[in-house]
Amino acid sequence: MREIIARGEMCVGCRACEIACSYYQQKTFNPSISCLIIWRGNEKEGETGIMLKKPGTFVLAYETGDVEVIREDEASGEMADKPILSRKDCDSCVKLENALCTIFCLRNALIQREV
Amino acid sequence: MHYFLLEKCLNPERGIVLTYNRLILLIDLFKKEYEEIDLEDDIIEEKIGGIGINEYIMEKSNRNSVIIGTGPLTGSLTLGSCIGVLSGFSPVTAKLEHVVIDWHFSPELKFAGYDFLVIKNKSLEPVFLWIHDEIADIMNAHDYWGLDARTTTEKIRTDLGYENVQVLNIGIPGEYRKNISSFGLNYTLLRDPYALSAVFGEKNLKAVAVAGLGDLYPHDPEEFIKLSEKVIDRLRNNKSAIELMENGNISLLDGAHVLEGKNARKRGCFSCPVACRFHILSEEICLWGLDSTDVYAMRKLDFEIETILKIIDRCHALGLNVEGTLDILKKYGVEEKDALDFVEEIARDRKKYVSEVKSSFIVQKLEKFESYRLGLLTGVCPLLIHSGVYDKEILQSLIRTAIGIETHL
Repeated sequence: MREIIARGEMCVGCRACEIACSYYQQKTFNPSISCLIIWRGNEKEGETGIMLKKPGTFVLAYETGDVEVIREDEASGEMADKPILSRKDCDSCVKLENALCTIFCLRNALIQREV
Repeated sequence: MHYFLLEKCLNPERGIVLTYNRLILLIDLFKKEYEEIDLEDDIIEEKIGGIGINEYIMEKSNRNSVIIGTGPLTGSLTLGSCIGVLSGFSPVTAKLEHVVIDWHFSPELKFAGYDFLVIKNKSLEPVFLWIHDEIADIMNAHDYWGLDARTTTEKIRTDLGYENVQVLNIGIPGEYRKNISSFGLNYTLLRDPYALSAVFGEKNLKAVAVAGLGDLYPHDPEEFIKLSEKVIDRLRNNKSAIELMENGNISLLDGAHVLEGKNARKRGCFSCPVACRFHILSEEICLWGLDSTDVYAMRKLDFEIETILKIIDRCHALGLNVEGTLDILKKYGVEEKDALDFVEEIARDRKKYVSEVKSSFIVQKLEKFESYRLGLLTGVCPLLIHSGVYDKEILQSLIRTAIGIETHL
């Protein structure tokens, strides 16, 4: 079994991972169905990060390198509005030899690890 | 929403939506009307997309039209699929000229349901276009007229309540139809040496905002993914592309020294982890997308790099052409201590300060390369084509597997 590790400090915000994930989900290119979101909320200040939906939790990997794991049932306030909560859980592309997001992220902001 | 889009995909009258939606949106700003036109397969086969189809549409349109077009690969998974092109008759050269639209705007236009936007005639009052999920709204822009480019992005995002909407806009120089204006795109600037942004001003068009949740279906998904992975392998074995990935496009002009001691981060356009541009952040500047044209322009003045970066940052914020602005500063012999105030004055002046630059040295050089046109046809970054990551054969294969049409580049 493997899991996907998000490293926000490596991310350049290109969203190739979102497109790769949407392809895995539905053989389509559509970032809005991906189980991860490249967060660009404070684009003006240059802040980006990776949000990854996992079973029961979502991971926020900030560009500072900090990682926060929030349980879905604990999400409140602004967090509760995040569209990540409506996304499918990441299954680490279990049907494939390698997770697609890790193949298309040349910056290694998403890597896979055996657990 | 997805149900609706799925229904659209299976609509026999429209055919199957592939990585081209096969839809052109024609907007008449004077009549405040819009019309959807099918993009026919034989046009794609002959003209391919992007700049090719823009030129084709322009032949059949008024000279006052502006066209925003995408390529067949724009918005797909293949590397650097971020490119769109804006075409119009330039007030500087009186010829049909083009501006490359990169970052995330052009894929978003496709996700919003359209491959091409044709904006014709002039609105009687300031407006902006809000294009989202196959809906086009012509919105009143009185509250935005007179704002600089960055503030326009910020206000449109706040007012629409959507933080990731892509905003192509003009600042005050564009409103005044000056030849020194440039397009703002979100918080950065597009290279607009032919002042097509002044045509937006002429039309009373402050901005085009796009956002979409639509799908693009590759015609032959498995083959498309295989080819996209092959492109990645080609990049890993390509020295120029690796150099671009490590040091950014400013390295092309030996500009890496600019970043010494700066808080600079690489930023990628859509589907492009090569990320050849830098975002430079300090207490005084927030400069998105420093690129080779900026580095070239810097050589015009003998100022401290810090001052020049501040000037470029202001140009980006105000919607001013960087090369032209530095040219004016030089022409008027402006001292370093007065430069930033002078830039503000240039942006807010209606007539006095005009650029004598008819194009951009870098853009002129790029336009001569075949890779430039190939990029603008297909929707893939010309720099990646130029560096050899893509060749014609692989581009043609990608297009065939993306849209199911055989093309000849």
